[in-house]
Amino acid sequence: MSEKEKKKNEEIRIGFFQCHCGVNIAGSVDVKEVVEYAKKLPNVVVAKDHMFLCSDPGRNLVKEAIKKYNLNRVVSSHCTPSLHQETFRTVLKEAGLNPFFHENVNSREHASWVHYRDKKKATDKVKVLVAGGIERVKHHKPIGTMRLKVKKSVLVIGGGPAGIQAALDLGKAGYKVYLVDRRPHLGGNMARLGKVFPTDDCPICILGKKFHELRQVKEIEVITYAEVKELSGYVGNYKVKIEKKPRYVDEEKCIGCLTCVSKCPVRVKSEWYEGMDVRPAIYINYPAQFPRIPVRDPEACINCGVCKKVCPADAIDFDQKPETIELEVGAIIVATGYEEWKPYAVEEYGYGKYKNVITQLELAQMLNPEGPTHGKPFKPSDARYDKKKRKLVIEGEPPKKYVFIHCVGSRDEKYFSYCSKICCMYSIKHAKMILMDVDPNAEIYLCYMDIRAFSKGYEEYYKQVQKLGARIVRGKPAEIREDPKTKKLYVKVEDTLLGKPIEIEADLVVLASTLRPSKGTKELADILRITTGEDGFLRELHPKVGPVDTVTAGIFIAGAASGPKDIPESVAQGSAAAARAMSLLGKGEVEIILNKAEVNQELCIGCGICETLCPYGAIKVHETHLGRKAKVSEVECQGCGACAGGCPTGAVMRRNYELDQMFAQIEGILRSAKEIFKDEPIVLAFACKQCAYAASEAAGTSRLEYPPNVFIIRIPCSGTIDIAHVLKAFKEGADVVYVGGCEPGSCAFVDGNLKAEKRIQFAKRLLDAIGIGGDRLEIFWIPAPESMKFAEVAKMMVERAKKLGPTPLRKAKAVKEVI
Amino acid sequence: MNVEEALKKLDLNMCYQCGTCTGTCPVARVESAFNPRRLIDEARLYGVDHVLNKEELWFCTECFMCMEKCPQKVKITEIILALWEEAVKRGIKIPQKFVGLAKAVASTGISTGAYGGKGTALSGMILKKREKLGLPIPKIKQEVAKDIVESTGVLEILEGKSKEGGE
Amino acid sequence: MKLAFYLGCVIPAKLPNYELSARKVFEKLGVELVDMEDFICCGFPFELFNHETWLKMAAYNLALAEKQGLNIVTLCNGCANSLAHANKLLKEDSKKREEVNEFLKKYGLEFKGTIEVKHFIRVLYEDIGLDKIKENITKELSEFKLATHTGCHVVRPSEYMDSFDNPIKPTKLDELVNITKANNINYLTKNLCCGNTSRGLNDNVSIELLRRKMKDLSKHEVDALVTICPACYLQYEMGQLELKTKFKEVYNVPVVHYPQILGLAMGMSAKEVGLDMNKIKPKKIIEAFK
Repeated sequence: MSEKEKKKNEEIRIGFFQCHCGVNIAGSVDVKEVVEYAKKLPNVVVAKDHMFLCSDPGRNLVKEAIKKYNLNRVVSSHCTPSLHQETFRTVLKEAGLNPFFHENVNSREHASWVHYRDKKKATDKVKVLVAGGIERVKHHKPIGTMRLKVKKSVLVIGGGPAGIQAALDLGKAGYKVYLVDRRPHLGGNMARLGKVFPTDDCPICILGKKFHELRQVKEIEVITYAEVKELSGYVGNYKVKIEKKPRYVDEEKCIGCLTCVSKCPVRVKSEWYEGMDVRPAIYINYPAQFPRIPVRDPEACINCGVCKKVCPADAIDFDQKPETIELEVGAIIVATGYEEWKPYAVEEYGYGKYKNVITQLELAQMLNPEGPTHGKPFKPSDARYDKKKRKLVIEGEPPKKYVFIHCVGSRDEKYFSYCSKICCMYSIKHAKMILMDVDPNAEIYLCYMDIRAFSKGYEEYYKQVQKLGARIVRGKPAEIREDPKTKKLYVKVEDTLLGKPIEIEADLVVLASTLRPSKGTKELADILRITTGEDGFLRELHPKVGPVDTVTAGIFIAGAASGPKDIPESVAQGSAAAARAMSLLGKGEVEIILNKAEVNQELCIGCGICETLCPYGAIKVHETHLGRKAKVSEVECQGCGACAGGCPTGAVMRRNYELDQMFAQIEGILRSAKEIFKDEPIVLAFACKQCAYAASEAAGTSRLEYPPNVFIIRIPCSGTIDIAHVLKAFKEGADVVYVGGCEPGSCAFVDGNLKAEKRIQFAKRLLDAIGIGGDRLEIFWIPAPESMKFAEVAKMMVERAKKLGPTPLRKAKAVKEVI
Repeated sequence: MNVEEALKKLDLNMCYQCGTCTGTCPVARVESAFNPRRLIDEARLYGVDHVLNKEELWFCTECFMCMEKCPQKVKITEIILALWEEAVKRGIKIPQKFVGLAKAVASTGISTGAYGGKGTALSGMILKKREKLGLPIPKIKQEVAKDIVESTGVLEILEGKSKEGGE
Repeated sequence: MKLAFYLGCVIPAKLPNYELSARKVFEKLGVELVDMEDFICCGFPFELFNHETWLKMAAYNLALAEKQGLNIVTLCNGCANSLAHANKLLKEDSKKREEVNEFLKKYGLEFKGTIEVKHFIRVLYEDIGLDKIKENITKELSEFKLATHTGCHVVRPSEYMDSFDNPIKPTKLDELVNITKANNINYLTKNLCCGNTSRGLNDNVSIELLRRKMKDLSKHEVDALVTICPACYLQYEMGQLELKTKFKEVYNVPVVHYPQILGLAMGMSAKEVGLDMNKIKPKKIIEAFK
């Protein structure tokens, strides 16, 4: 160390604080030992522990220590940064320090929870991580903020109950709202039902009231038959391109008389009624629809022109073209809802093969008073389209014996692991509707595994159907057979409470099929730069801390788009998302922390590589008086660090992930690991905080064990990775290094993961060339929910390290000059 | 690996007792005592010992339909076969069929056959018939079969224990 | 195409009609069968009560074919299942593979995981293909009423059998029968297990499963039940004889092996495909193909 460096280091005064988290950490980590270890590290002035560091007394302990010991750096060791990093940054701020002079060591999710069986190793691991944190914090620099004007307008995507509620709350509060729906009208799937639980009111009555309110609030602009195509800009200042599909009916001119609809000679299957009814080529989906403007289906239309002739308002326009609408909004709420999975794949139930096996959403159409039979269920084998009458004709007795099957596709490892949440309730609802409104003597069997009636008033609702005499059988049917002549169905199921396999004869079998995210959810998520989970639904930032937030600031989610939800919950989320948007935009400006990219003008050679790496066009080379130099637009920069990872001279850096900061952390961890873990293999992982790091957190929550000699460094995106980081890790003694990124297509920063992959592939060849070996370096896609995969990869890489033995660099005692 | 661990690996604990297995089981329809769902439940709640001496454990006909349909991907049939192996190992029950089979394989290299346990050794009559039909004479390496049977001690397991069990 | 022909135990000893017809059909389709030499039992029966024995036996047979560099074809559902299962297991589990190879060393064999195991209907369906088979069909069997029984172990567990066919409602055998234009009927107990494996463990189960199938089939008056497995075949053929002698129940459902049917459609005579050796004679068919 040079004299100059020494002097610089002497001025650094670090305080270290270890949390017990009750017994969550202290139960499997010797916190006192960690504190003693930290005390001995250079520049550490004070080291203390506390039962709950995030509590008032805990935070005060830190704050007072800062003052008493004149600290200028703080390292706190507790839970994962996504929970309390912000808390302690605030403590620093309150104590008069820049919040970024803080470093968070994850001793809970990365140690105490995953190595709980081995207190010694868990403690050792925390020591190593602490050494890394303390080394790193020495290099921290202050990071400032900037204020940004925002637009007080919000785009709401999806006009179901969640989206409508969000639009109303925002509009009434004075925000400009654009409520966009892909369908030609609002209402969502809710408008397709006859009744809604647990109050059994009619959805159209509820929606009708909401539609009325929508008309009253002048701030709300409803745009139907339109889809979001493009997004640019940033929080508070988004630019959105929307494509409005041609309706072939002039929305301004149409008076909603529906003469065209009644005169159209064409009939095709109606998607709205699940193909069980027919509609004209120019049509509306339901009588109370809003807006009450027909839409023409050009594929079904025979161009006879009758509609044009009969229209009293001259509103029909066959020449309409798609139209692009550009909006400027401060925030976006995604409420795109769900669709029902069609269970063709569940072979044993014969859906699609046996006509009288239908889904609950299809039964809902039969039970809908506006549906094909005005609320009377029928056997599809009895239904026939009468060409003369141009309508559906039912020839045969109405069904008498029903079997409802719960959990079709959901809670099934072959299809979807999750519970669809509302199927128990709508199955009960339909049984109730049949027994009360259609046929009190109907025989209805509900074949369930667990009845999940958990919300307010739901258990009571369930009791009503029991009272009405529905037959409730605990067992999942194994097979349905059809008598090809009579079309009667035979359902094989074990009555598990009796332990007896039985066979139930049925006229109609109704499958409660899985709720899936509505079609196009993934594509929309990609456009909006938000993420989806393993189940395909939109992912919330955190189930408790940010249930309607996403990884992208200013974009919120509500309703079934983020997972199956009933109407009360969707409405509540619509309000929640509206409130989140208001709290963001209310003051007319937002504060942005500038933990983004920065260019060292001296080092920049103006090559422009960074420009090609930035997915947002936020870094550009300009002509300056010093020559061509890159410059960052701080409002547009999202902070992924892809530019820094690819800069050939090290001129571009991602603040708080600068080269010297990363090097210090790598050095700190590995120096300490070599000392403490001695001859054991050492594995270093760089984990993207969106996915692999989140998976490591989930592994902690689920107490999934993996070897303690895997040390994880958190990075904003796998694209932040620089080959220099990797080489540094090997130089400092890592035996195996790996990077964890998001799956292709799901990178929160467009394609940082692919950039990382390229760099890693190159680095592998480099390692081969310099005799370390490319198989000591890997990149894995570890999505956030896949905690198991995270643990598996960690295990595998330790196994590999064992198999390959120490690197030549680690074997050689003096490594300083090698790289 | 002991049997408990083996069963865990076959996802015994993942069962949520939906009854799809029993509902689809061809045997459960003809033998009411056989209920795979209950066997799974008893094995995990009360332990392997509880089910090993149950007569109905041996009713499974290994059609694998339950395993194919199980929504929790519990390896039901394989669990039952693991229990058979354990019962045989402990000498709780050793079906005569298995003894005859192992002996036949050790002495001829091929098994007793699929129907009713009658021997299938390629005797003179069969060979003559094959010749007449123009079928080649199969070349079987009996020594290897014997070697394998000896190396795993399966005959001792079957015979030793069956003597103790008095079968 | 050249394949290692794994005969197994039952077929060479008891079902020369199956073997004969299969060989002839393959010959006609241009498949060269190389009879595996020095083979032993596939290990299938040991899978029920001694995994180690099963795995070693299967591995030995697999390694034999691997040495020849040929994929295995077998006529038996049990052999196909046992060998395919072991093949998959050993390909994936390096520890088991090492153990087994340690044992195989003394025979100069090694399991490397380079071959595949297929049941012969899978070879017909995937490697030869329906179109090629159709080209060889010279006689339509449209006047005959047939029913199929695929059996369990050739399709399940689908994980081991590469999901070759629908594991719950198999259809491949039906497709293969349908190309002969025979009247292939659908019947209620089509996917019911034959019950053979329960022989000697619970004879009541075995007989009862057999009986249900026969009761159902006798209603349809089929000319033959088509099988692709020696165990299923024997259960239905010998089983019916047993029902007749023990319980005085007569169903008279002739049972045939698939290649016998295919052979007839390809222009062979009843005798050529060994129909004279079937114990319950499919009289109408024999008559037509004298």
